[in-house]
Amino acid sequence: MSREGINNGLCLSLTLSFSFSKFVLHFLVRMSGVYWSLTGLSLLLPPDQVDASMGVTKATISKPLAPPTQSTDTDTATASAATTTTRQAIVDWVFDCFDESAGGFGGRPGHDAHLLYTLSAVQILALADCLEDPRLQRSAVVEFCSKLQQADGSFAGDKWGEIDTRFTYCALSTLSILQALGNNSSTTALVVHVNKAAQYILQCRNLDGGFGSVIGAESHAGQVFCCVGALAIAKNLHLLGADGTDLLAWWLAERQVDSGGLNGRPEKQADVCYSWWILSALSIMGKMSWINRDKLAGFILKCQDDEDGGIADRPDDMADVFHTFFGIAGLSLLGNLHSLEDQGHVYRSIDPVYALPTDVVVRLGLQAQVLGNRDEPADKRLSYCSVLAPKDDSS
Amino acid sequence: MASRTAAATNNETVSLLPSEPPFYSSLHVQYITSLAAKLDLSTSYEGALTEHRKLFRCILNH
Repeated sequence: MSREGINNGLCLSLTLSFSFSKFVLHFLVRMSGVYWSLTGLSLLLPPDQVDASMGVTKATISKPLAPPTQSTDTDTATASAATTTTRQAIVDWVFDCFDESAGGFGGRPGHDAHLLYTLSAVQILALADCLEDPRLQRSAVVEFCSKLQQADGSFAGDKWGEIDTRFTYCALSTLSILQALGNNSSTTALVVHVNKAAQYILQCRNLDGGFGSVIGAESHAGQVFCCVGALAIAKNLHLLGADGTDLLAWWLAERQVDSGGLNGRPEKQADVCYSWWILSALSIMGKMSWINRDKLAGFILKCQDDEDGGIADRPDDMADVFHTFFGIAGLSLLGNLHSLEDQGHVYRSIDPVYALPTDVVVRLGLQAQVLGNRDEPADKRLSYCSVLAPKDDSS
Repeated sequence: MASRTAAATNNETVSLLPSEPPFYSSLHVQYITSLAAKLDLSTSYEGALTEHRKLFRCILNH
């Protein structure tokens, strides 16, 4: 068992490498942790069971030093009230994390706002169907995101100015979920420069077809998801070009190793989380058949803890919620979970662009772009997306 | 860490691929829903790791 393995799982959302500073930043990730937990549960349970099953209260989230509350048996009426209370407690806690001075959300109450946690907060509110909560200061959140865009189209994560293509995805996804990015928004022209954001992403593309965190940075599968996802939200996937799409899909397909798992960069070990980062990008590009899907599903299944539950980064490591979510999401994207529906199991599917259950995406009216592919039948589960027809030549 | 031979007999398992371990759907629900308590429980691995990181931050702050 690798005790160090759990470090990766408990680290930041979209974290791409382990480092001293990120180790410390674990204290900031509870917002993302709640998002991973809720979305993971949402893929396994019917919506009305998610809140009741979560067992998270405001006290246990915001006061980590307090001993856990002992649960007691309840009758049906009390359980129903508890469901409402739990949902309310989570939403209340999300609003407790709002940074009034900045206009975004922090990882925990009292922490500075950051795009990573702002997206997680908005995703949680979307899951809880609470985007219309009067406490949500939409204009402030939109302004927080827009002010972080730089002159070259890139986005900083917060006021301290770190630039990363992760933040481009976070900003565009947040704005899109808030209906502040798209044709149905009267404020579209004032929010962010979508085309400049897309052009910056293209500048981060490397000769191998992959994308890095900034211009000239090494290609990484996690960044590929962010860049392709951002282009999908911006409806700018045509910028990849036919040749560029094939080159990128080839690079992603080469991430599959003998075990069936996927790694994030050449010569690295396979890791369950790349089941999501890579599969989602391939799904958006209509090229999921470019990898061996059964071998990947087998790898994810081998990473399960068959005694305590949860999924680890690789077989025989400690499970954690980060990899549990992305493992479940990977199996959902592969279609394996839905193959069980004829056995009486009901699973919600996940959207490859927004990383939310597809019914939530449909309810919000979100319509990201996906690429059509003449060699692969369109994924029927993505019928609500805007399909860009394939072209022969790169643009 | 669980052994690969142990069967989760008390929980729902579903077979995705014939030659691979089953999918432990109910175990994963149980795992996620128990996390909030585990993080605050010093006797759990997750709680111990959280405490370790708190100490680490305290050292950095001083």
